[in-house]
Amino acid sequence: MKKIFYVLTLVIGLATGCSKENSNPPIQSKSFEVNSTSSTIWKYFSFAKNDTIVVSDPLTSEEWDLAFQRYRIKTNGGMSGSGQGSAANSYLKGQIGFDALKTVPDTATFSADASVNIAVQQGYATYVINPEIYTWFTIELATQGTQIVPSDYIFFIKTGDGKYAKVWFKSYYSATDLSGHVTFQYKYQPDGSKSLE
Amino acid sequence: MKQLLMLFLLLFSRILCAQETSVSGRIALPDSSSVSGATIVLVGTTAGAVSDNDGVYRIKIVKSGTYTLRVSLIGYETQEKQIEIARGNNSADFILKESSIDLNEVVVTGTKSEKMLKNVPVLTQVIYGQKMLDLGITNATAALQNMVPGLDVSYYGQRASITLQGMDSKYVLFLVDGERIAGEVNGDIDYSMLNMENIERIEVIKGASSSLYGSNAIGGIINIITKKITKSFEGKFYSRYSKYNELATGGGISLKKGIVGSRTSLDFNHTDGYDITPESSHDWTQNPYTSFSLNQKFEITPTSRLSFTPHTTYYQFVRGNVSARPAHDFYQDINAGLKGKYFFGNHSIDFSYYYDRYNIYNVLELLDNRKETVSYDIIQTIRTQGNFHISDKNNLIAGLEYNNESLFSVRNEGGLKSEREVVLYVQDDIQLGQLWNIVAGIRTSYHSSYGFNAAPKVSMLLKQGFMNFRASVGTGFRSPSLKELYMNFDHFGEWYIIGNTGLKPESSRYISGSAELLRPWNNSSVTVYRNAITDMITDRWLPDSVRLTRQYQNIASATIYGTDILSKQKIFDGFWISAGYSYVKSHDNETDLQLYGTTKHSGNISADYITRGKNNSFSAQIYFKLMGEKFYEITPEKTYIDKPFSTLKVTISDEYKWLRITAGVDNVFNVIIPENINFISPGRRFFIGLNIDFGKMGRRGF
Repeated sequence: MKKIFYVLTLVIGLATGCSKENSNPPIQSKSFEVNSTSSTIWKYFSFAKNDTIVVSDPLTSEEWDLAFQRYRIKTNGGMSGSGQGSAANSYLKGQIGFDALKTVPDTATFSADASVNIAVQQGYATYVINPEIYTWFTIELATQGTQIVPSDYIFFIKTGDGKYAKVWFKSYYSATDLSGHVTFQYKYQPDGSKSLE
Repeated sequence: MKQLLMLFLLLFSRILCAQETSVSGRIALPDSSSVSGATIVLVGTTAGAVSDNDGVYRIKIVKSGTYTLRVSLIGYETQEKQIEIARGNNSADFILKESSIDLNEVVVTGTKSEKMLKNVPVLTQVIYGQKMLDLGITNATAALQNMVPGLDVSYYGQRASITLQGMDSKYVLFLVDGERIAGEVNGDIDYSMLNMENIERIEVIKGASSSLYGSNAIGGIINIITKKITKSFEGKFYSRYSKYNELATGGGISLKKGIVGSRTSLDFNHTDGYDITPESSHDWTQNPYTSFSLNQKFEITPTSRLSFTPHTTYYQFVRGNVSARPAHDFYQDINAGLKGKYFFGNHSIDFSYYYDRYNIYNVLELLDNRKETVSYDIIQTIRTQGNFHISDKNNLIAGLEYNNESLFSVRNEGGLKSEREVVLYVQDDIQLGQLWNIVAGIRTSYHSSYGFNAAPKVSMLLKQGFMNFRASVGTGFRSPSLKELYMNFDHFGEWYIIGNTGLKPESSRYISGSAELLRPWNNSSVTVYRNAITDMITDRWLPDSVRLTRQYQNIASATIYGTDILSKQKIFDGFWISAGYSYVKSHDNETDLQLYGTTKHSGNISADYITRGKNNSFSAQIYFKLMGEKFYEITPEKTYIDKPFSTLKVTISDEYKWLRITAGVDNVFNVIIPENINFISPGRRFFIGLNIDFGKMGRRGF
């Protein structure tokens, strides 16, 4: 009886192992906190490097994938760059949404960067940002001062060089309670496929 | 050695002799039942007593002579009796009369001296701590908002902010026992640090009619008078519970033996909070919080001519976090002081030292709840005041005061900033004939940032039969705050607010007149006033700066006028109807707009019923409050308006010997207005309260 059990376990183990070998190795979930406290300087982020990078000419560079300035976020495409960058909102939320999205569905509608009207202190201002990612937060204007509250939507990002990632923007505040620190969790697929497992 | 012994014996015999002199008597009601708990003081000395369960009191007196005895108890008319005290035991009995209108009650704020309410030339409104507990009100701001027409409370960033006669809190001076307290944020102190158990009464003076006080007393003065130690033992406990786990509880113990009295009080407050705007889930209407405050006071009277009162308080407030930020607020206050009084002849000298430090911390939840200092504010005041009884018709007060304030804020240019001020004030109180009382005073000061300032005032009282007519003319001022002088706030590099060290104080001219009717069955007053403020400090965009910058400047001016009407009418014994109404018109001369946050009309009506038996009492109150629209005009096109609202509150309270149960309903009509910031009620709420008076338990308890 015990022997049968061992054999069975081995068979199942081999079977699952084989099926994994056929597809790509699983990609890691990573987390990054970008310091985007400046309201004039853009901070450029590369998924491949898992870090912010210095970009001499963002309009021609394909190295960067996301750019941050306060709560405003760009992708490397459309009016922001020469890459293929764009983004789509999955409309799924939080850890459950992040885990559930195993691939970029064909139905996802990606938008490139464009001019967006943003409410600021003195009325409205126009910024070139990604209009999809702009839904990553809501502003709660009320008694305790303005707060940036993450919407917890999971976004599909198409990088400058046409690869895919899923991103969850989790917080706007550093551990020391400073605003302009965007923390996000992501899975980046470097092989160019739409699989995000 | 022998000589020393002789001297000692001589002194001892003197003391023994002196101890023989005393005054005693019994306090009773007209039906001759005993009144316990009444306070009897020998005016002009530190001596006093409280009547026991048989209504009997006894005061030891050092020196024979003519004295005034004053008897007071809440709910009864205060009485004064002048008696000739000879060596030996003297006797003075009192028969108290029940009264809901106690105009003999003594107030101190208007003239910096004890004066009966009906004789004070500056119209003063008084809220008693006992009354607040009877109505199940457990915080000072709620009491003020409910009981003072023309006083309004709004909530910015979960901190209460008051407006009085159309002027915001920057123009209202808030005092505890005459001392300015630390921790102002935009003019408002942290009202939750006021230890409820410790409040004897709150005195409210509207307008700049008392210039003996310094900066900020343009719109009015609110002075919290804390409880004195009178009985050999007093122990009290209170608790009030309402929806959202809202708990206010506390207690106090007073002990007095020989020359030393001690009073310890503790207040504890908690709520789970609530949100009446669920669409902004990270911004609650009322955050959860837990706070407590612990107060210790000693009263030491080494002789009948000298008294010392050292006192200290610790307070802390922890706000629960519901925001998207990984941090929450922690407020803390530590204060300590010493008051003293010395009587000589018919005169007396007061001296006091007060230290108060208020800390605001940001608690970083992701970093082991590390506390980061956001700001701290330290106030120190040293004062001496002489009270000279020149004649029965002429009392002179002269005082010298030193104030020092230091403020550290992460938004200050250079962090820690301080200012100092030396003040000299003089006030003469003259009785002209039987009818006229005139109080004239001047406060001159030298301030480290703007130099010399003088603020004179005159108040008059004319007594005509059962009418009192009052008039006040005065100037007030408000020093630029340390924030206005030194702020350097970088709004993420998008725009800036900076201070201005060239600021001078704002100044005001205030004139008011009032008529008051004093009858045993009616007490009513009508007041009209006008307040003109110049050199108002406000922040404006700097025209030619490379970056967007707002700076504080002395450029605005405003005129405010209005009327206050208060009336209290007896319907039958124990049943009273009270009403108050306030009208304010404010005008910013620079922008032609109303002052920000003005409520033109406000009022209240209440019906009070009380019946007292030998061992029990029952009271009921229905309270109706009306608030008109509150305007926040930014430009003529851009005006926010807080909607008008009315609320009804019903409270019943039953007392049997040492136990009192209070129950009631707040906001009976279930009014919820999420848009308003001057009304954050979550709707109808029931509450229940419990009060225990351990002093009354005794042998003949339950």
